[in-house]
Amino acid sequence: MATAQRPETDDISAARAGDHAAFERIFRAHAPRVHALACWFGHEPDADDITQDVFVLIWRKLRLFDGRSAFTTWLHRVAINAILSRQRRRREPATDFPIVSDPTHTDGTEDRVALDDLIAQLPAEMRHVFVLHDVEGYRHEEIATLLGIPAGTSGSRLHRARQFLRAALNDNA
Amino acid sequence: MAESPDVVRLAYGELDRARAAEVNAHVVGCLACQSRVAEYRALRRDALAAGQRPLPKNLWPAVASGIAQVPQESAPPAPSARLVPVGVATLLAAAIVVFVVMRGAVPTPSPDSTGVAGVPSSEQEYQALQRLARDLAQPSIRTLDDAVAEAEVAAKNSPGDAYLQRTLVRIRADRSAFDEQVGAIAAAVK
Repeated sequence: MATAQRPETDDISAARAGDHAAFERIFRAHAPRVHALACWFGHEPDADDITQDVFVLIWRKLRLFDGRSAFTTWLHRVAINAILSRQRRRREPATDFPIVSDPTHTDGTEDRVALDDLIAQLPAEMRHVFVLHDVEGYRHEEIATLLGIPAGTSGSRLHRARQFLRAALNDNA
Repeated sequence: MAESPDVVRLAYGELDRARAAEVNAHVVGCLACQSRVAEYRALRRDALAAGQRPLPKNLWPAVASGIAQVPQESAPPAPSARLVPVGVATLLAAAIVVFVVMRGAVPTPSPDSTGVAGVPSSEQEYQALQRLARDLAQPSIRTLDDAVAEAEVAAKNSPGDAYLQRTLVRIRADRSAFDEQVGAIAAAVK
C-alpha cells in the first residue's frame, strides 16, 4: 500500500516534541549518509557505533535546531563535528590515516577496494573534501560550512586529491 | 605537458559550455589529454560507486534505546524573554529619572502648606507621582511576570538543564529587585 510521504518538517516538529517514531523516520532518511561519513572520516570498524552516537547526539540537540539553516545541513554539520571530534580524541595523525578494507563492505569490484584504500591514504584534509564532494555529492559552499574552511580551499584540496588518486590508481594498474 | 585543471574539470563536467567546448577542442587532438580525461572519468565513476554503502540493519534499535535514556536539550529562552530584565531595568531607570526631574521642577511646598489654587500641595504631588510610577511600572511588571512564568515552565520541563535553571533564578532575582526598587521610589516620594 502506498503511503503519502510526510514532510520532513512535520517529523522534525514531532521529534522535537519527543516523538520517537518521527525521529526514526529522520534516522532512516539520513543514517546512510552519516554512516558513510563515519566510515570515511572515522574508523570503519567503528562506523556503526559512531552512527549510533551521532543520532543520539542529534536527538539530544534537536530542540537547538533554530531553522536558520537547512535541516540536512545542520544535521550533517553536527554529525561531521562529532565524527571529527571523536577522531581527534583517538589522536590519529592527520596525514597517516590507517588503511582499512572491511571485507563486509566489499560488494564492489577490486578497483573499488583499491580506491577505498587509496582514499584512506589521503591526508585527512584532502580526504575529507574528496569524500564530501566526489563521493557524497556536497557542493564546495556546503563543504566550506561543514568544515569551516573557505570554498576556494575546498576546491584546491579537491584538485590535489583527484590528482593524487588518479596517479596512484595508474601506479597500481 | 603540465596537467591543466580545466582538463580535470572537463572530465568532471564542471566547465561552462563555452569553456568546455574550448578545452574539448584541444583534447580531441591530444592523446595525452584524452588519456587524462578517461582516467579522471573512471575515478569519478568509482568514487560515486564507493558512496553506495549499505546501512547495517540493526542500527535503529540501538539508537532507539539510546534516545530513550537521553533527554533533549531545551533551546535557550527566546531573546525577548532574555532581554526582559534589561528592558525592565531601563524602564525603571527612566521612571527614576522622570521622578527626579519632576521633583526638581515642581516647587516643593513647605510642610505646613495647605495648598493654594494652581500650586500643587505635597499630597497632590505625591499622588501624581504615584500614578506616574504606577503607569510606568505596570507594563514592566506584567512583562516580567510573564517572563518568570515562561522560565518556570521551561525549567520544569527540563529539570536537568542547568542553563534554564540559572535563567529562572536570574529572572526571579530581577523580579524581586524590581519590587525593591519600586518600594524605594515610593519611600523617597513620601
